[in-house]
Amino acid sequence: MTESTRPQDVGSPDIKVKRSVKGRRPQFFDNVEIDRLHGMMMAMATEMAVLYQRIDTMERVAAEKGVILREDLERHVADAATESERELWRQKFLDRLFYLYREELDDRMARENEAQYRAFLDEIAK
Amino acid sequence: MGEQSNFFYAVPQGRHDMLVTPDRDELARQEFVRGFKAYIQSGIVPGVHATYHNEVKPAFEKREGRSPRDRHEIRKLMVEHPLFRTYASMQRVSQELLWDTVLDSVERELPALVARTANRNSLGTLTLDPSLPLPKYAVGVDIHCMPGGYGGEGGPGDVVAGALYDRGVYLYALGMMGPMNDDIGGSAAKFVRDRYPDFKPKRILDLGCTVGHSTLPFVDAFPEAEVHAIDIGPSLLRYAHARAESLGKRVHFSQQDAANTRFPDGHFDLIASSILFHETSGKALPAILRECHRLLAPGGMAVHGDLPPFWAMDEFNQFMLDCETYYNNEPYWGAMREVDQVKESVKAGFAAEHVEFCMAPSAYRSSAGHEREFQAGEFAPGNAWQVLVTRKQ
Repeated sequence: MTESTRPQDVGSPDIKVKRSVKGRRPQFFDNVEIDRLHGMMMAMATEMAVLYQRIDTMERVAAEKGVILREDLERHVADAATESERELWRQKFLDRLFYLYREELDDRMARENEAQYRAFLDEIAK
Repeated sequence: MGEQSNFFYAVPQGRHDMLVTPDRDELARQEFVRGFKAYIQSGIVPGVHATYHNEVKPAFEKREGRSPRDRHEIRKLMVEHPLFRTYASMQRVSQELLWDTVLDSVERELPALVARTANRNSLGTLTLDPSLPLPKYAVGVDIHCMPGGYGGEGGPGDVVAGALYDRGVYLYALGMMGPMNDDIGGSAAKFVRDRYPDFKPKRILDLGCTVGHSTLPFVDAFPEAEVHAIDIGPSLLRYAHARAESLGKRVHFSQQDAANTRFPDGHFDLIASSILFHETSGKALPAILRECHRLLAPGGMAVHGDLPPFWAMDEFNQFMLDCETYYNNEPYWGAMREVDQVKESVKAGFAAEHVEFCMAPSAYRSSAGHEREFQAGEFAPGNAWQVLVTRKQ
């Protein structure tokens, strides 16, 4: 299994963290691209839930304090540090969205396949 | 398919020093994935059941003049159905997203987690054995799609597998195993105390303990006993030890193979395992039962808690549970449920009259009033855990 990690600014330099799963991924649909779209769709939905929760929190806190946010938000200009934080966030987001392609790539590099997994099932059941 | 999942009461996970603290986005992701899993159970699984019983099965019966024979035949029919494909794909995706969201928290907090394993009060002990060969069944694939698997060791002091498992299992079980993920051990310990009130074990061993979720209830149930726990994963055990210490529980953790431990004959009065059997193999399961017989003192007993064997449910539920074998890297999940565990226990040396399957009522759910029916395709099987009880005379 190859190592694959995200662009990251945190973690422990001495400990490698694996992201991909050892064991060939099953295919559920006739066209594997549909499997991948499922994964992407739900990764996207997760991020929408995160955004929803953030905005919801902001609005609730602002309302509690009697603050009107809209004009402040319209006028806000991000500085360079903010932009680079956001770019890091976008890269992580994309990596999350394309997780199945990362798996596929890792499997191909490690030469994992369905026949191997079936052979493993048979061996374990004996 | 849009029924509200309001019967999944999400009790917050119980805190201890080793548990990751997700930041607000990570928490939102984790809560979303847990909600997604709950939605699959309440919103999609009933549709899959209905599809089979109202559509696929009657069509087969009309065509063939008989019912589908077994779970394998049902499987051949169902994998062609678009709704089943969507269900199975969504299950897999939810599992992958689950580990991925938890890994974000673990990776971010890793240096602090490693630091927190050091310099603590030592109630119990931790003994690692880097020379231990890791059994192929445990490390050949990453079981239940947990990246890195049980044996993962990414570097000095690694606790990733433990941190990932602790938070991941809580989300996977939808909180149904209680805030400390300990319902199997808690129910088994309570079962032993209730059924054998005069039984006073001096030494207890928990096999395949992972992070000690099910080990700790035995410390509480039998405060006079010396409690040992073993697993094959060094990262799991480092985490388990630190977790137990932070919760003030005295446990002796060591890295050993349950089929071949270093403990002397007759060393234990009580041996327990929780959801271990279905993650072993056709060769390892009988070997573990033989090892239990060797390790038990006369008058001692072993209590193994796992999900119900296939004979305890109909073919369609068998098929639904068996999806884990094919889609969730659980290679022994299906095969284990066909093993005659009573027969294997007798072969391992236990007298037939002292081997039985019992239902251990859920300690958490009965106390919290969360009683409900078992529904295949989900993890928590209703209100009781099936336990294999073997006693040595």
